[in-house]
Amino acid sequence: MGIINNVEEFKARRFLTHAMGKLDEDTVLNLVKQGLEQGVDSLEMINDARAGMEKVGELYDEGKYFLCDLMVGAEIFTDVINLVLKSTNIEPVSIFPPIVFGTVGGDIHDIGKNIMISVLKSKGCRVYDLGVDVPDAAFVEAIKKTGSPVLCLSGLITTAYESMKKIVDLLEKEGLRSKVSVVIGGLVNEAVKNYTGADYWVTDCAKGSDLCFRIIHDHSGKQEIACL
Amino acid sequence: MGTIIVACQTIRDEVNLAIAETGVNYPVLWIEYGLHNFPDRLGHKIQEEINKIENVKTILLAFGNCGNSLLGIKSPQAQLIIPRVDDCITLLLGSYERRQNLYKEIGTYFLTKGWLENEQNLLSEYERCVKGYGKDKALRVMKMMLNNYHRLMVIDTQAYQFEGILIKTKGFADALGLSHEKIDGSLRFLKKLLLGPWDEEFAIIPPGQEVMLEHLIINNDEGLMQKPCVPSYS
Repeated sequence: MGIINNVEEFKARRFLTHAMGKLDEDTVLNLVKQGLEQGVDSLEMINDARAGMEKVGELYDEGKYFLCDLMVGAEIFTDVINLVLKSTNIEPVSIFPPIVFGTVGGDIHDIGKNIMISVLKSKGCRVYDLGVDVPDAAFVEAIKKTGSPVLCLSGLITTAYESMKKIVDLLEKEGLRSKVSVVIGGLVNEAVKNYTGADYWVTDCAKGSDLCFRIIHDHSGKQEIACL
Repeated sequence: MGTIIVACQTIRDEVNLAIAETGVNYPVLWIEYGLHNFPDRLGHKIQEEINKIENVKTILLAFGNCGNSLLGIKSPQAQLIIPRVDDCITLLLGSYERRQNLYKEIGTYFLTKGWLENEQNLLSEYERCVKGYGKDKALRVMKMMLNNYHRLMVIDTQAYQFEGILIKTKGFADALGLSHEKIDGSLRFLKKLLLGPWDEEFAIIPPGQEVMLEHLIINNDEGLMQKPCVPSYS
């Protein structure tokens, strides 16, 4: 059954959010495939899937879902983005510098990092991914090499904060601090942001990618949007 | 005006053994297990219990700063003594340095009997996942969760019958392709919490003052191992 008009599309998109909340992988992926075939805006579909993920998070907080359900949700969401990337052939916008990303030294967690990178790519942003357990100096070198105005530091354990702080201090020492917005993500909050000297903290991949998108846009000083 | 211990139920066996071996006779207030995946709730629960404590000069918190759960905690009348550790695994390994060295060797996931019995842990998540989504998907999801982990290490804290849990943990490690190792735990940290001295390994929070990140974080002066880093450009 295809998506034949706006009403049908609206219903299908609501159903996509609902199916995502239910962690119904087959339905989610089928709806996205149908939507792509019929020209539904791919970013809208990602947003609908994201809304479903928010429901998954709520159910986790209420104790109705468990950690493995969160992970299943993350896997489906990643599959949605990969489907979109594969089908729409989104080309990264090369006139803007890539966003430098990595999990800081002493930490090896990368689920959130990888999801956020996928979301950024789905928006046409380029990403310079340094991987996990990245030495402090490698972040600074990457900023120098790419000229990126955004540095995303990920960490899920409390020992990561010291690395984040050292990286920010190193940027300062190298005279780069004012040119780079530092975004921290993972197990972070306002206290961690203040301790590390970062500019922003995010715990939501979609909101984090919106933030990076906005920083690049502001940095470019241009009216047109930076990525797609 | 005495001393009271507020402790995490997940490390109950180890705290009880440390109390027995040191001979202290402080009362213990146990905080229910199962809150580790919800650090805010864990923090609220600890605060709730601290608020009930009266006529005490010192509260010994047998907790790690799991998920920042200790931030913002305060006692109006008592001083808080808190081990400066990232989480309770470090408490059971005996020192921050030991934990860091093990972690640097290879990505390591630690387990104890307390975690296996009381918390939503990896093994229970795996079993739940197999039930709900089938074995293939469960394996895929667990591998995603444990990406970059290569070792499952079970800590023998000497506080419980250790051998009984190894069959379970070995089976899980094999299924996930992780190496499986045992390691001796240490009660050094817990005993030092009970007896002192409360040196740089502990935060001493005066009455009325809130616990802040700056109190607990450890400045890793030796720096992180510098190693080659190959970025992927996309």
